[in-house]
Amino acid sequence: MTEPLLTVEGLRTHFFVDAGVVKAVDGVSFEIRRGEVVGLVGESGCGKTVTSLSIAGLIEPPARIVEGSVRFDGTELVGAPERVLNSVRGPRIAMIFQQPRASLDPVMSVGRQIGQALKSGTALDRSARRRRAVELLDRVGISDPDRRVREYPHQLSGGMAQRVMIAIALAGEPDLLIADEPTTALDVTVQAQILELLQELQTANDMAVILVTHDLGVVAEIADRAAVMYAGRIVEECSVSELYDAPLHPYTVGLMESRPAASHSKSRLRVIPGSVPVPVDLPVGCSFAPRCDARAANNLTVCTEQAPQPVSPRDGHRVRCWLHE
Amino acid sequence: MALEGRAAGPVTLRERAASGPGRGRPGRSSARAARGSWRRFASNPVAVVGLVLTVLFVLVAALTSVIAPTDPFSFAGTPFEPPSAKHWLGTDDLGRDVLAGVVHGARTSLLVGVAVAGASLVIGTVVGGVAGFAGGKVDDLLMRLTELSQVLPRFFLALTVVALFGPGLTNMVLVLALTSWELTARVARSGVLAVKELEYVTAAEALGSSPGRNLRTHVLPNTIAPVVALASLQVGGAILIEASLSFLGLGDPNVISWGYMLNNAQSFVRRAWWMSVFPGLAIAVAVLGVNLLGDALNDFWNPRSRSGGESG
Amino acid sequence: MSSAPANEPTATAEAALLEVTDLVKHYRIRSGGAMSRPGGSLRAVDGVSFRVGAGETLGLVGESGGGKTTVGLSVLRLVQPSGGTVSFEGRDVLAAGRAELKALRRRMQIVFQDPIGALDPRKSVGDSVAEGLRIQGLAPRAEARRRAVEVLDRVGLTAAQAGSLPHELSGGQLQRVGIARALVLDPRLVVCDEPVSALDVSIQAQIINLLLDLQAERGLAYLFIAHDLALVRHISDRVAVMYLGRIVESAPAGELFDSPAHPYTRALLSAVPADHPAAARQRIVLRGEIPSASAPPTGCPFAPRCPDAMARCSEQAPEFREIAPGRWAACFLND
Repeated sequence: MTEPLLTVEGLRTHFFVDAGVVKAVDGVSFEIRRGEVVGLVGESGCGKTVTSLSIAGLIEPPARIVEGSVRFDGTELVGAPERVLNSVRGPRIAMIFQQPRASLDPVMSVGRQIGQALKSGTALDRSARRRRAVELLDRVGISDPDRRVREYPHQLSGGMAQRVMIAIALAGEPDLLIADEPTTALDVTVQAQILELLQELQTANDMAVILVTHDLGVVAEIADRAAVMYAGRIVEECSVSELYDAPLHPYTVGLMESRPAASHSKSRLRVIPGSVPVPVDLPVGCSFAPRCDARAANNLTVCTEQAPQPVSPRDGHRVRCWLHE
Repeated sequence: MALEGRAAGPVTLRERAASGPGRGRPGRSSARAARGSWRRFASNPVAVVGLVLTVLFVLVAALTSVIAPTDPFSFAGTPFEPPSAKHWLGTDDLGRDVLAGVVHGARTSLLVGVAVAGASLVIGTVVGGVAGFAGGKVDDLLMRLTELSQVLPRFFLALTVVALFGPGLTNMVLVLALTSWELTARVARSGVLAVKELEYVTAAEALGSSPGRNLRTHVLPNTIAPVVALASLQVGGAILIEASLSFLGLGDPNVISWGYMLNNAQSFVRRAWWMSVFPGLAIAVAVLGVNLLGDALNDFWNPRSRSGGESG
Repeated sequence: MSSAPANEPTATAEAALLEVTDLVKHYRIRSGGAMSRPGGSLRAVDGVSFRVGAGETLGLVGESGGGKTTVGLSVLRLVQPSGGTVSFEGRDVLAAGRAELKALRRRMQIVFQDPIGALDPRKSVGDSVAEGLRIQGLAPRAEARRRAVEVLDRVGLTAAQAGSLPHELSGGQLQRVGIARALVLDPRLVVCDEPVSALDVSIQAQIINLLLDLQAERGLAYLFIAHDLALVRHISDRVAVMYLGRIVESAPAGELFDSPAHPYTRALLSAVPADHPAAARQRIVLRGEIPSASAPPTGCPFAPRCPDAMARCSEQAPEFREIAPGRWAACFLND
């Protein structure tokens, strides 16, 4: 097996705020190989976005990476000088966000914004960059790219703006694309278009993708593997088919069963009691223990005493849960 | 299948963390929030200096009869006595105590400042609030009226009124009050425009609430803070204009004020420096204090300057 | 569809609780905008008719810009429709005088999408719930508070939490408060405008269960507006699909999802991410995005994006008609 493209190990990113230390990411480890699509899923505040920002080196005060390592293609990114980060971020690791229009500069034409990305990633001259920008717009399925290249963000619809963001991300031909909720702000028919585009580009460029999302359906659509996060940790990591067919962690099981599609119409849905914890003053032991039906049913006391470590009950399937120790 | 709301992200996380531990405990957590606001306010040195100077100013005005019980117009000693143990700030050309003048003048300045700021707050809130809430033609009419008040040159209007109706504190306060509400009206209007579209106002309407009740119970209470902050900035300006008019000899001759004292002192600047320095210092300290405090309140409450307040 | 028949049937045999006929809401476009033409108007809702029977849930789905929210607000006359009628318990909502409208709003309520935005940040949640009783003059202050605490208890909040300010509660708790505020007046109809789309999934299920329980207990009718099709299928008896201000299809929930009759419904369903990674994907990916409602196409509004469009579709608008018992659609394909 070849060396993974990205290895994240023991990553801890904490926010230092008045109310205390928010352990947004608290010991996250995973790997991603070339050309692989990994869905990083979880509810709000679980740390999935902070994880992706930590990988991209975009953590700013009051947040700080307090521990851990992010190795990208042999280069350690945590604590790396800005020069090294700049040579990786953009050209080799690109990012797209939930609000495409907010991520675009409102006073710069689409062409110039793509041109800027090309400038830092390639050695093309001005007119070549222009031609390449038109090509990229065409590549992401924007019709009439010669005209669109001169337009400004406010002239674009939400779906169109996300296509432009993808074109900018593709400018440096990245090895890894981090897509943070890329379709959440879009309507369902437009979401389908963007997902199809991402999948097609991913296959054609053999690009690895980290898909940060709260939407299990989106994961089912395009991811190979899924990592489910809860309270700053990955509680389960497995192939997407195992996620759907044989989830192991009680939290994952609860999520899958609380989908309306999983029960009869007008019947009560299965729920996970309680609410998503705030990652300050997390309970000792497993963070999910206070909401866990399986713990109660099995009368496990260890859950509230000691945090479970990741185990692999099946090949390629890791879970943090005392039930599977 | 959505695991989370549409608008979640690191911001949500931080907000949640900030309001985290106190959830669901009424009273205690509100008190904690209030303490947090005070800490945030007190962490700004400008705010603290402004607050201290303003408190000093108000105390002097409030305790006039304790600090300087004598009539500031009465003869207290020989003319042109320099500062001494008997007359801390000296005496003027007619032998009147300068300290008594400065202390009683504080009362006049505070009265003018507060009256004008109060008028600015009340007129501005009513005009801006009604304009924003009613919209349409009412809005157009009231905003034209606001523009009219904006183009009137305050200082010269005050001069004219004094020239026509004679010098008097009441006239001056009236003129300043009627020309001081343009900004507060605009801020009140824009606040009302923003808040009236919020869902909790629609929700109250759905419960059967009338527009007037909505304005009183939901819209105004949620827009008033920046308007108050802005009105507080009127205090300093009003004090300065009153002082300027009095300095020009257009003040009320029967009321002691810092401007009047300065006017009186200008012929004796070389001979009796204390006659001009102390009233001048009083004006500077008072205006600086209320302006710093007003600025700090603005920073604290006005969403458009800096990080905004706690209303969100 | 502006000639939509008024007798669209409901699932129940009872007389309709809510009957909306030919509802139209046009917004005038202010001049000065880059896109506006003189006298232009945005046809947010363009001839919508539907019924909701007592105790029934009608799901209203569609993408943003479809006009769903405007329909919901028009039902309570929180926006003033430009045309059509809204009849609730046999009374004409749009013609009601001030006092009658106030009385009508005791019987129909609304729950909003954004749980924090729907609550006054300066009032305790208990006061917000009690407000309806105070406004309607149904209870003096102490009594109103007591009843507010009762209703909050029913939706799963403690008496102590009644004293909290909105920012002290979580999104799920706030949405419970929003539901309690609607319930305190004991309405017959609740318009739910995307009530769970701002919530985490584990919380969404809790709120959906609460809505289902309350419906069973009190015989509430819901007009359930949402973009999440799986959710709408789960909670609704009937579903109406909106596109560009019009209802293009309406049918009992199961039938609509199992055999959609309108190409837009089909496209919408196929665009929903799969239920399972192995689910067969026969996707109809639509071209383009929803056009602006200020310049709707002539003919069928969906024709420019429709994979099955025919020549006549861009010339003539198909009539919204009953294509099978209880099933309505506006498409020439069903002719």
